[in-house]
Amino acid sequence: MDQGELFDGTFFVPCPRDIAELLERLEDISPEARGDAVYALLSLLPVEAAVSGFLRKVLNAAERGRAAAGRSGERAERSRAAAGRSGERTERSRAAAEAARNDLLDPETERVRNAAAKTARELERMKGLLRFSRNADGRYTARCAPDHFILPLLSDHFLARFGEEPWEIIDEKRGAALVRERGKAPGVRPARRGKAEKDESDWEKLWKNYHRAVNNEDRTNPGLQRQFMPKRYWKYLPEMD
Amino acid sequence: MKDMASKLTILAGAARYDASCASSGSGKTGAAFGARVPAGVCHSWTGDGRCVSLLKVLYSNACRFDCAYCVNRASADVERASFTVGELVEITCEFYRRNYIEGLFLSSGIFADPDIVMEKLIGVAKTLRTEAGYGGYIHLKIIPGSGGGKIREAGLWADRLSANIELPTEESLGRLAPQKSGRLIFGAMNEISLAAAETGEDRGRGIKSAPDWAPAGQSTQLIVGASGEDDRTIIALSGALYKKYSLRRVYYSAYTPVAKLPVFSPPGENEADGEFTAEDAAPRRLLLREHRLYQADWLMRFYRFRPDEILGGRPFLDTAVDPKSAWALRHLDNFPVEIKRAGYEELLRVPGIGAKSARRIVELRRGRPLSFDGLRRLGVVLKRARYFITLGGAFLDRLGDPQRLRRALAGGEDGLQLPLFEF
Repeated sequence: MDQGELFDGTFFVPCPRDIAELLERLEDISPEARGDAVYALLSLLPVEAAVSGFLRKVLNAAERGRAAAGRSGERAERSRAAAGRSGERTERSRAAAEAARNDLLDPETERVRNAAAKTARELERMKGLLRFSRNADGRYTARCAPDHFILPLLSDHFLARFGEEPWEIIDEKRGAALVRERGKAPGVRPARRGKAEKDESDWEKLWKNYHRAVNNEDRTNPGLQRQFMPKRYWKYLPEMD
Repeated sequence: MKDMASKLTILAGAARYDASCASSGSGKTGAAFGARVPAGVCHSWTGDGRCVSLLKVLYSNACRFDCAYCVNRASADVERASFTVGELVEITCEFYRRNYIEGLFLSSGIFADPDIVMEKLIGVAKTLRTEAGYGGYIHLKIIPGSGGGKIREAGLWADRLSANIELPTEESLGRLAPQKSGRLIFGAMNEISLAAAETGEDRGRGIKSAPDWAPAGQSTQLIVGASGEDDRTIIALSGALYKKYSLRRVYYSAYTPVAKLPVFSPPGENEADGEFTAEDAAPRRLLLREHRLYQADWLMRFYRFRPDEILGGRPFLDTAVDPKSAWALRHLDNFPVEIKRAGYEELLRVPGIGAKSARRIVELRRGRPLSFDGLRRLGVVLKRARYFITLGGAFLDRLGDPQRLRRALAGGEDGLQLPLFEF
């Protein structure tokens, strides 16, 4: 397949050229549908055909909405300013795109939204479950092995948390790293080779200590704990040793 | 002097009975590091299934008050410890950078005059903001009896403030927490909502120097089962608090017997009175009661139920079915609801239909034919909704005898595996 690339702020999503083009056309009409498609692609599930169908449906709906607004606009031409008419056309086309995007009864749309939701769910989880340790050079490093390729989506969140400090998040499953160097924008690149570095400080011990202290034995409910924090994530959590 | 680890064990262990865990709702930025996100983040879960989102500790567990339900009461024989401002600032920043926590939740025993204790809590928040450059979430507890000036200062640095109501009536407070009073607690809530309204107005008028005062609002906590009040009293109180002081949340905390106090839990199937000792099945039943109260609270905040509608004149919530199903069982003549025509408000009242699926139904039903399978795909829980809806006149399951229906609904619930602590 002809491969294209889609630049999404801090990273490139490799995707078929037709999808890249559709995504570009959607940028102004429905950033939400564009987001759904990007999240679905990053799930790394086999959804490319569904994504392409989904994007076409949203674009067609937007086009129909625009045309319908144009027709009703002609009737009211004398009483309305031209700027108002174009504003209404944009609004109608956006509303139609939004309705198509939410049409979960369409099987392709449902597949795309479900895949996107999986990525979104794991993204939210990992924002909480990543654990950073401080290296000798002052950089903070976290390691993970997520089901989906959420690495690029973590950028803004950790940029806001760390401010100017340098950090990196390593996806061990895919050998990729999201790296923030001092004074530079975060970017995805191949992970450096080498062993996981140990945080020499006592903070990790103190955290384990805290985690034990706040548990209320009278309410023990390990099933609930696992439901929120599945076992596959425990490897990287010092408190679950 | 105690080392950090043993202090943390004592002062975190002593704070764990506070149920609040929200870290969302401000979205401030501009600090050297740290940000508050609009949606809140959970960082871990403890063995009891509760989320860890904040470093939840006491400044000190030394206390002059002798509240009978409290593990830190003056007369309790427990090891006492206190942090310093510097220690708390350091541990918050270090935990935050390692992504263990979303922020700090700080309370304290009343080891001195309330204003002096409050001064320490403010000191931690202020130092975090002004010296450490910390922009993460801060929740400060208002120490009962601290003055309006201290409350106003606390809101300059904290995202959220909370004054705990603790017990549902003045009478119970008088009996179990004689040094606290409704006047003191409601006074603090009133001060918080006044200050928030004033700064909100100033900002609304475009006064740029007006502070973003406690932008995540105020919450409170109520202990369930340490005193004998019924659910009707508790829900009416919560409803009034939401209305009067614009509280963001009321947290309910099932009483853990830390002293030799009787535990009150709602009557079971064959028990006439509601009092149990700590030894029998009461703790499990009390957890279920807490769970039902959270569900009822949810109905008030998001489903436009009035407090009196939720109980329909009964003293306790039905423990066997969720409060929305219980309401439907009492109003069977409102059902079945026709999915193709019912308004949004009507759909919201159907057990198994949430706000999101109700909105989706209204959005989609004009454009395409709906089926029962389609409803499932829109997020409707047919296990419950099936008895209460028709689709183009067709039933999926007919409303049968109310007793059988109640049993079917009780069996269809997923136990306690619900997100108790979402916000």
